[in-house]
Amino acid sequence: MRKSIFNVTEIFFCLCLLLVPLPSFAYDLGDYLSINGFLSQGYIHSSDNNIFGESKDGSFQLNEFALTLNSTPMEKLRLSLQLLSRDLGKEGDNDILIDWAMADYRLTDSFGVRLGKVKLPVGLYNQHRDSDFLRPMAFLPQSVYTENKRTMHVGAWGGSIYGNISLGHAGDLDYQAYYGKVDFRDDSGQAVGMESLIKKTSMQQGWGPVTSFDSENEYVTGGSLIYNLPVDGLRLGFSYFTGKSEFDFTAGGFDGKASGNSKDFVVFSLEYTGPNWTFASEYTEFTGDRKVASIDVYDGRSQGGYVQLCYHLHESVAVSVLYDVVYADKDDRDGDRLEASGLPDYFGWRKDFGTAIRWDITDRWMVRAEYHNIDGAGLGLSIYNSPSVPDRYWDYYVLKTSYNF
Amino acid sequence: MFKTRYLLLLFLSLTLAQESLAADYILVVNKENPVHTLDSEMVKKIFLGKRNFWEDGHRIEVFLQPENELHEKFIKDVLKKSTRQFKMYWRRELYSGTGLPPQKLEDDAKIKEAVASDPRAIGYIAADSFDDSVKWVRITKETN
Repeated sequence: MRKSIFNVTEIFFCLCLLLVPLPSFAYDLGDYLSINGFLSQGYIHSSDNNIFGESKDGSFQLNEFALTLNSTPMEKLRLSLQLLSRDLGKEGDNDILIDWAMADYRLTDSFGVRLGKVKLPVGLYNQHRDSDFLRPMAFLPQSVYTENKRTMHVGAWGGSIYGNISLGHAGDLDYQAYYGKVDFRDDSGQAVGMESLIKKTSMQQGWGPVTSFDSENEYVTGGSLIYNLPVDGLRLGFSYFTGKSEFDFTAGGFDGKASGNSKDFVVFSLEYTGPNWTFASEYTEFTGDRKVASIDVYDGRSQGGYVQLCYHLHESVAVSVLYDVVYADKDDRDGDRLEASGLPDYFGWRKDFGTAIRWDITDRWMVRAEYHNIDGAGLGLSIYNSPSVPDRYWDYYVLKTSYNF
Repeated sequence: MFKTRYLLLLFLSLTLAQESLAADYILVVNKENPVHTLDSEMVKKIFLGKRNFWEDGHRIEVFLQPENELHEKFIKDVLKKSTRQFKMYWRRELYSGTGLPPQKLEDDAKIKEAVASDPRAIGYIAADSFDDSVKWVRITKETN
């Protein structure tokens, strides 16, 4: 488990980015530097169950602050960096982290290379998931963009290739492929979830209390294809992600290893944007593939998807509706296997009906309100409610404001 | 036979010119740029950052108008988007680290000045602001 916010390699890379001289080239725009950013603050209140943190009492631990720097020192080279500070209940704590930091060298329209910390293209929206301004609702649909797996899926130190391929009358294709390594934080959903599983297994096996826990990602790799059809506003997507993480722990006198492989995470996407509305739908499958010491944990293959419609009543006012569903095991949608193991069957699903209204007061300032009614406690809800057992039916609402510059 | 063909070409050219004038905006590039026409699909890709290079390999430098009627009309006619959708598109590129929005300049004069001084540049101005400091590029219907 990493103790510091930045390691030496990261600091060196960022210093290189910031200290690269900005020479004058034949064209005066070679030293173009832009500074942008956004800040948001929200309030979340839930009934019956906590989500992300202590939300049953209402919580202001819901914010994002980012500073984005871009520079183009050479015609085909762009250097960019985004620093992000966020708080989402138990995760984030407003530490300043590198969201991405990369050198982007675009050789041609159909081929470019990015090196550094790159954002990962999962589904249609993962790469810009942190900017509240860009989301129709305060959270992206959790079946695909699960907050407690965000650290694993959001970005990795490594590299990617990308480009746009014209298909003539048939439209065009955006592709990306990447390989890298993810930073784990103590408070990330994956680390908290895995530590909780190891504690539970240790208790069942009689190893004793867990006294040390350390996590490290081995690699993540994957890619995405987005097909922009010749019909204006229509695009289809497919993305694939797979990764492997290892965890060392000591329980009593027993030194053990655990692994959690985010295996074969696939997302199929469809988005159609009309003059005043956007319809989006994505379908996903995912395998946790976890192991504690020599004990295989039965995770099954999760399945989920959503439909979302965002309609602009006015240029500055939009309403959205969402139906988002996820099953922990697609072969056990009713949760019979969980029930047989002594857990409530509703831990096996989460069905979320959400509705939201958003008002862009100015070009830079936005406020939103939304409500979610939920059946089920899937997606690791128990880690926010332990030692209590989460209820089946619950709801939450969010009020949020954002500013971007 | 040949005369008929030339007359038809002349008619088509005049029609295209009329269309551009009627649209109030015109597309302009640097006078050194060999391009005379661009099909509407290519213009759309250039302004959405999907086409980034001229045929000689130099990067295309795109300039935008402020959010005025001309901008709204250009974005709607050529990019088939509303001003809000266009803005959100570039914000997505910016905050995902995948692209940098084009520079926005104050008015036609600034765009002409920027385009005149940069062989890679492209922008759009009001038709009645056109002068010989820049080159007018006709927007044609998609050909490829």
